[in-house]
Amino acid sequence: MGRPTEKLRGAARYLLALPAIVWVGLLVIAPNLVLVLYSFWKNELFGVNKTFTLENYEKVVQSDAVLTLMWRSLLIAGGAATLATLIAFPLAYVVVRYFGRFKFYAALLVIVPLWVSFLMRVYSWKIILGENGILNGFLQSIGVISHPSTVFLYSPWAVAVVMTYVGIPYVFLSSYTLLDRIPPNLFEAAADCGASPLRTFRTVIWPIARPAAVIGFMLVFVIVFGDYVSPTLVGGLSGTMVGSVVLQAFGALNNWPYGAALALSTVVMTLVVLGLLSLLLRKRIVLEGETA
Amino acid sequence: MTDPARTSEVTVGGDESSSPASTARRRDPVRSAAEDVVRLEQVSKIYPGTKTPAVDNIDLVIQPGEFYSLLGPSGSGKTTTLRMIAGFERPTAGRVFLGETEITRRPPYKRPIHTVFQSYALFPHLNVRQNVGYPLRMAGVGKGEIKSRVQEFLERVAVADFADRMPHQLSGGQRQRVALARALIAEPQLVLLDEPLGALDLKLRQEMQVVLQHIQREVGITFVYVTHDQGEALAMSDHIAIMADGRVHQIGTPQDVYSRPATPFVARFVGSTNLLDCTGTGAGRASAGSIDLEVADVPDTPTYSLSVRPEAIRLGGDADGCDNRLEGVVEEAIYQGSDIQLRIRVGEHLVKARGDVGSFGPGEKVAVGWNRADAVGIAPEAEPAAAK
Repeated sequence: MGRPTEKLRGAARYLLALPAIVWVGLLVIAPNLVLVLYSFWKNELFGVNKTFTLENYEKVVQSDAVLTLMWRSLLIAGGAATLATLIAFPLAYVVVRYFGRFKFYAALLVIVPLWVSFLMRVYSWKIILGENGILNGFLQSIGVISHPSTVFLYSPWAVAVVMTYVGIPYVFLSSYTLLDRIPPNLFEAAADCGASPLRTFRTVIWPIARPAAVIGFMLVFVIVFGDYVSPTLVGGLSGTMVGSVVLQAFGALNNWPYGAALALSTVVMTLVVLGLLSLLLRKRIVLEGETA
Repeated sequence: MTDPARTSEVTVGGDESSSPASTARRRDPVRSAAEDVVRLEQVSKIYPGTKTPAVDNIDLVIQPGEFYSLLGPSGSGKTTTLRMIAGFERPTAGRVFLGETEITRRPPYKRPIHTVFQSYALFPHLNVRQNVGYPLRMAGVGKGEIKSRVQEFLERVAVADFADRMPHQLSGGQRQRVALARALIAEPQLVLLDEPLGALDLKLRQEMQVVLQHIQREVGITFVYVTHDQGEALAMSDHIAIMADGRVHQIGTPQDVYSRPATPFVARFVGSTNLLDCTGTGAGRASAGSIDLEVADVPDTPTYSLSVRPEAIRLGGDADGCDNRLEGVVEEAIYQGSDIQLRIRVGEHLVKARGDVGSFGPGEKVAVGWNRADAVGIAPEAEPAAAK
């Protein structure tokens, strides 16, 4: 049975693909279609009127609050993804390059937080940043401040910090896998050609591994842009993001069509950002032992 | 300061006037240290977590402009030696000099030494032109000059037609040439080549041998060449250092190491040979088990190995005038195209020889002979230490 896919013809092939098609259709395409439909329906007091309207989108575009939140979400999510990339990519580089046979365990340590519930990870930051939290205690003990400060928690900054923390394992994973595949002799070849470690990084490693950093950035951005848990727990009023409004529309407001329009707007926003980022990905680099 | 090239000859039978082997390419063995390119002094390398040293107390002197080979089987320490010269490994003990400057602890990017890696190690994100120009870019050379120099070197190694291709679009031979151009372009004092032809097929390898030698003479840069292929080393080198188990067994010209091996290992490793365990029985006489021999060039030790190359052995009627003439029976005759390889039973010995096609067959009785001048005695305990 050398290459079974070649021997299967027509119907048999589709039959094999059926579970996947059903899965994607039922769990990905259908719900989103419903969302799209809802966004074009009219909301009424006791339910949804299935007549076509653009008023939900008009409401989204015309609302200053939504635009402010959208802009803020963009800044916070973009900032967090940038910070996470700036921390996790060099970290992955150091682990791959200098941890030798312990690099796997080091990588595991960075990834371990992913095993803890998302909620727990966010909540733990309340303990760190809160009024009686670890940060305040530390600053008091070294005499930087005399009274516990409340500025750390409930701000856009707190949200950005938490999201950076949440994002680090993702950038680390994508960076680690690519960096680990770079043949070690390239480092030697660069040094051999007169490049200091810093220039080796700039002229050889970064150009090759950049896609991994970009993909890591994208992952983090997608995960945190629509997040409403972190803003709710550590953001306060000034740290509210667009995800919270979507939740509100579906929940408290009970206005599903408006919620759907809001949700799809954030999706479009995300796609625009990803589209721009993908411009950085276009050149494919073929590493040793791979085929084009 | 010991000069290994010379002392190696002393070890081999103490015949200093020797070596018609010194050909035109051979350099004056007595040179002042100031003229050395690279000198290794009592260098050892023990990798962390291992007990036996990968390189065990070696001395090497490499002279300007020469083609110097490190020859040995895998695990002999030749690549480790090369990596210590390049700066990728730090010696556990000993010192490395470049000219008069000690560079033992200098990082590789500060050494005017460039390497052709076994797997080429071309930068996958740069095209051929950018790969070759990379060392100049790192050296801060201006763009215009980089461009013209790159063009010059691409033409020199005959890959100018592929200048805009990416490494993965090149064949093995082309990658090899690009790697060579990249190593040469910044005009280093020394180019290191780590089994550069290992991944090529036989025909390409022979072609590249010629290219390498040609280019080396043209640019006049010192080459240090690591190989396990004794044919390659013999064909290309000015000097060969033969290594095994981290130690240098012999240093000399190709003719030296072939005709006057310093240790039994060298005799076996370079070319094919017959080694007979001999016991001296008076002036110019020896016995190897049941046979008595006339010998000339042998050490003072009571026992030694006598190396007789297969091509020195005369057969049948040709054996008649030889100093040593023995009777044997052909056990095996293997057709080799231009000749046949014979294994002949002589007493308890099995002697390798070459014969004309169709001359002798298995089971045939044959006279085996050689002249004493064609045989070299090697002291059995001729440890590498003595070869230094």
